[in-house]
Amino acid sequence: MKDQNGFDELARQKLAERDFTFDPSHWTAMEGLLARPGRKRGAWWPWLAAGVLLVGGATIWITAREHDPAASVTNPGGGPRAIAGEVKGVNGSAAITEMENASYGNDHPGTMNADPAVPVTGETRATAGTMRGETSGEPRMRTEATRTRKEHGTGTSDRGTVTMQVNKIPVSSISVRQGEDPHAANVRTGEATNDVSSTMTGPGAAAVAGDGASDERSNLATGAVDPVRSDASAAPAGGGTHGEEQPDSVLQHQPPSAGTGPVVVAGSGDSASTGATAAPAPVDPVAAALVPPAWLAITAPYELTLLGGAFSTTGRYTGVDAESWPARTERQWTTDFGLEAVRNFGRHFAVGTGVHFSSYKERLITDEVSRTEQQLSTSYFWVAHDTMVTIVVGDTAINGATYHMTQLVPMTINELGVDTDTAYQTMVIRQRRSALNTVSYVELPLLLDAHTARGRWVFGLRGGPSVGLLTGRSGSLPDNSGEGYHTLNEVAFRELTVGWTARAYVRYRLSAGWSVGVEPTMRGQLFNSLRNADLDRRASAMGMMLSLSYRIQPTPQP
Amino acid sequence: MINDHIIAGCVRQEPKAQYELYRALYPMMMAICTRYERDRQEAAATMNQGFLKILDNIGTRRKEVPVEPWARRIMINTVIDAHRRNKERKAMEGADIDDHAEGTSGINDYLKDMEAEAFAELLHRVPAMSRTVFNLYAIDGFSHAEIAGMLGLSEGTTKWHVSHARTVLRNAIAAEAMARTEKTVSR
Repeated sequence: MKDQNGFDELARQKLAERDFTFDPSHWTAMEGLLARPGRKRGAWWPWLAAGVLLVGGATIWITAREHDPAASVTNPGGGPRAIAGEVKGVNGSAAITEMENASYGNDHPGTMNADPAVPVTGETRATAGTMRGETSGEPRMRTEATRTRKEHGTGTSDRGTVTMQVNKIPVSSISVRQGEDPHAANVRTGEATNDVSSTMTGPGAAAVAGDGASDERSNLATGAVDPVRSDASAAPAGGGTHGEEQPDSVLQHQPPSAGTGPVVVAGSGDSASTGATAAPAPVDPVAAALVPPAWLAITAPYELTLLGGAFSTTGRYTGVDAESWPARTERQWTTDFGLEAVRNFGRHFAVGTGVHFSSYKERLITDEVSRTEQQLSTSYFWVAHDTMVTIVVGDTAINGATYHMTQLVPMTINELGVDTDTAYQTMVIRQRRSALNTVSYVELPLLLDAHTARGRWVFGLRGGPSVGLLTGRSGSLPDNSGEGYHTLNEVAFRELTVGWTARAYVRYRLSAGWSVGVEPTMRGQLFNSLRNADLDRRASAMGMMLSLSYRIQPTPQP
Repeated sequence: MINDHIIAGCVRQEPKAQYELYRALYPMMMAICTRYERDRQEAAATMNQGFLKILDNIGTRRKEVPVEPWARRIMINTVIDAHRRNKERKAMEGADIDDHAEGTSGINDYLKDMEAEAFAELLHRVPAMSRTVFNLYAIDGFSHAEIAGMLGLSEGTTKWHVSHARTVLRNAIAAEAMARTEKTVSR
């Protein structure tokens, strides 16, 4: 469609001539729209980072827990476990066995003692194996062990049945004393045997049915035990162990401390049968890599950390006064160092405090403010007009008529003129300034820490509220009157400010005591750091710190 | 003036920067909205909706695209959206306009001498759909094909709306000129 006669262009020009003065009520309505809940989308990335760290930390922690000897029955390395076993003698004697386990590190070799008089109940049960003796009149023992994963060793004996319920037993040795039974058996297991069930019956021949369960890598321990002789020696058939294949070399390679010691079930009578040896569980290389060596065992609750790093900081100015500033801020780099001390509670949590020497720095760029004054001055002047004026100089009468006689007289008429002069005067009332503002604090944080270890690596989150003590300041702020500047020393700052700090860290343990780490950190101020209610200043920082930590080693006990 | 500092502040959702941008874009936004909307308050509401979209999307704007044309396009889209929503209601507007007479030769001369606000008032006498199409075509520079796509019309229809708007405007201007002449003569 053609634009006939340029009508469209004229219309466009005409509409472009319109002028719209700003209507504050429209902005008020706009503010209402902006303030609607759910519209704020700013500053999402710190929450995302915190969420990722939280989820990552939780995942690591849960993963670590699955490999944690203390938390799972199925730990291959064995760990501190509560052990309880029950041994019952059918022939009028009941033996309850209590076992102490070997700790994760091994310092506590587990033992199991059967005492007919003391009943002990185990915590966890799952069925394992049974040994049944068919010979009546003889001590009969039945051993049962229960656990979620089980393995069975089976043997038969005509002497009796031994029932053992053993739970979570990373024992290095188990000793069972059977009250009246003249026969005894020693059962050795090369692996920390969590569930042991063995039945020895019959004085002459013992068939052993047992749960040679050690952990998830269970072994089906089947051994035919030789008839128990008066010297109480039960020789396993086919290896004579709870495990089918029991290389001795494995036993030798696994220190007792690792919970892989032999399990010995010894009769308390004058005879004992020995020789049943459980097969060792195969070592999971992945899990083994995650388990720190014994010398890295975390035994000290107190930890000191020296930190230092660089931060990108800025300050945010809001309030009535700041509205009058045509100013903006730019982030600046600063350094931070500090010392922290925490006390560990359990394996994953710690609480502590510290002292940090922190600075918040920003470049405040204030635009020039000028004032233009218009001066109007009125001046009066004469304007000369040269003209001829006709003057009546006389009258004359001619034929009865009166005539005026005139004369042209040159004359200058001055007209009073008025003029208005406009003068503009521009005054710069505030120079443009780029001020580097620095405010320093000693910050005392209350630190809450959650961490987990994966071998030599420690992953954690640490943070909490902090109190900042003002130590110094430099720089300047625009004056709230709109003219000039004030130095920061002239501005009333709060001596105490409340802030926060949060960081994630990864540390590498150099030894049992020392570790180094990298710690991305965020910190900021929660409230106004100025006393001026019309001007709000809040600083924040994000950066990276390097850390050197030391766990205070416990004093060796004599 | 709109500078990078204001844009960056708007991306960070700083109220001060948002205010600065609003003030800077206000004349342009209001000019657009009052062209399409008869009621000034309604135009302001549409303008605020458009500015909300500008703020929401300012972080995704490519740097090489100037802010003002970009914001202008968002504002026009917002107005068109509002027009679609209110299509039925708007269809009744301007129905009383008589477009019987073709414009006279002196229309353009009179238009040159008209006050801008007076012409804007006349523009609102054009029926809503024709006004929208005329605005898009004659003032905002969209092609008929683009307008047809935006409004869901055929190109032929948009051409008709432009022609119709011109006719109505010319008649309105002629009537205005005639009324003024009569007033002068009667004095």
